[in-house]
Amino acid sequence: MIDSRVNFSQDSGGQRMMPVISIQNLKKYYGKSRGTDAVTMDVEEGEIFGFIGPNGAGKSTTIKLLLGLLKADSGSASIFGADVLKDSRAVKGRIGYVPGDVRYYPDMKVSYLLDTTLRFHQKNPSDYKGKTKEICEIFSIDPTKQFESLSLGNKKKVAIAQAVIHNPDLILLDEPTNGLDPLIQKNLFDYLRSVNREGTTILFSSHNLAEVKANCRRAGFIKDGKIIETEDLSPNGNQEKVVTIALPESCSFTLPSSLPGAGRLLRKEDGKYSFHYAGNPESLLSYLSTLAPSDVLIEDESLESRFLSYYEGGIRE
Amino acid sequence: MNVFRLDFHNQRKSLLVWASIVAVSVLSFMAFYPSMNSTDMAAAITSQASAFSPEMLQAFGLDSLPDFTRIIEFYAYLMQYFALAGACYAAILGANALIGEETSGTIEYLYAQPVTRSEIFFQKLLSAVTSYSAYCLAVALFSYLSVLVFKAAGTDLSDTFAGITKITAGLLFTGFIFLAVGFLLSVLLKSQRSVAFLATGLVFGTYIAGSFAMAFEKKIDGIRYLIYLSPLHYAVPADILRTGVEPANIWTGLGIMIVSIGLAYFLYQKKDLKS
Repeated sequence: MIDSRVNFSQDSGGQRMMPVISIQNLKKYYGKSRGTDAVTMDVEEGEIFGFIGPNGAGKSTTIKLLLGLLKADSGSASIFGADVLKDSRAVKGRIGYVPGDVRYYPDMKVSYLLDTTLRFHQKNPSDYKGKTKEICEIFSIDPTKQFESLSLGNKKKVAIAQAVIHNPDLILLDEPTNGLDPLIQKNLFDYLRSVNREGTTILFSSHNLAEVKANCRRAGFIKDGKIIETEDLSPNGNQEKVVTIALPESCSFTLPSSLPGAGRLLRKEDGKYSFHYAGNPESLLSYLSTLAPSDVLIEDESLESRFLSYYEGGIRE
Repeated sequence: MNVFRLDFHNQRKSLLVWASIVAVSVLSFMAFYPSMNSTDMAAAITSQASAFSPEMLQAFGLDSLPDFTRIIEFYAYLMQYFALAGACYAAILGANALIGEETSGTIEYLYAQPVTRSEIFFQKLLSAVTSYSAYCLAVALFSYLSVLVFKAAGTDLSDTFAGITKITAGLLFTGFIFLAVGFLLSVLLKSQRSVAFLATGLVFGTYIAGSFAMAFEKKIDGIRYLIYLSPLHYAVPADILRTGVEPANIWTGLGIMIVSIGLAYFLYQKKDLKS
């Protein structure tokens, strides 16, 4: 289900913005095993987009389909308006990619890998010495080391460096903070935010909801190979509340269809009922007064509760 | 040509190892030539050879007994075994070329760069061809050197060097066939782990089939066609010196190369690049 409440397809002037990534019904099965099942989503120009989902939900498969490593069974994907398969070379010329599992050439020096990446992007490594030095300093990378001698975290840092060294217009990161210490995590997001301010679009997948909340303007939730929700994470974005009421055990509670803005019932536990609410406060208070609850809690919905409601299957009793 | 550059950079160590081993081996085995260069030794070999059945002699490439007192014939006899090593190297090079990146996971780096599958395919093919050509060049150079060091007095150097060049060309030809078949294997295999076993199995399996066919072609009807299964029998070094390579063998070899590379290219365009 694609969120229709949030529309980032229009800028403040009401002009339609071109999505940098546009995915339509992208389906990929590995034999009988599901990779993605009709993924549809857009990532708009200049945004940081979080891609959230549990292991096996289809995040990495989607990213690999975007890169053309995997061939989709059906559906289509375009980046910067160009088909990811037909215009593979041109599309990838504008992308930097950090894989989830970093495996590069074991006996290659980091400096050679970075230079090779620049050459692939038609850039002369000697013109990028300053940039290479800067990136290595930001991510605490020793460019003289051989790749096989690096720890997991240092390998990840090299992957990040090679993804950004050529100033891409779009950076795809598959769980980039796995294995990174907190300091480098901070440096990574500081860097990503700084290049984002200069116009670079970023999509990263993650299990870490806090880093998604802190850095992304929007997030897509993927479950069983489908995007089930796209969430506005900006301060003025999601206005939904979670309302929890406590009622005497003798009372039963069902969500009123007459209350505009009442959403899903999230939890029913020991006489306490939680539900989404996105209507106006007066209507809610007026409705609650008719129930005479023994306790009421109205709070902003957290990303965590969203995540749990999506992946724990809705009502929890 | 960045894929070529990267791939050749990654292959340079293995090329150096293979070329060094074969260079040392060529020099070591050619060091036996001076002891062969005597009429007594030639007579002894002829006498020993007569004890074997014609089939055995054929299987070991001794059907028309070489004149080991001539350095080029001694060299040609040795090279039929070096050709086996060269074929193994070529088959392994080809078979590792594409699946190697998937097994090691480096394809995620390589294919995230602005390159197409066609560029990866053809530049890796060129890299493998270059590596194998460099290997053959090393074999040729150390062969020339060994002749200069171990030749007998009165050896016609220009004739001998021309013979070495022809045999090296045969080594290139048979190696390219195995490299092309290896390339096809590289697209079909799911992992690199069995590459060395399969590649050497391919070389020795086809060689044994060809040797068997040669040994029994007069006794078993139709078995001679099995020779076409063995690229190493298309350009046997001693035959190259005597008669050159038969046109039918050249066309068969070229056909195998074209079909293997064409099929490999077609399949590589369609497959998932898994890591």
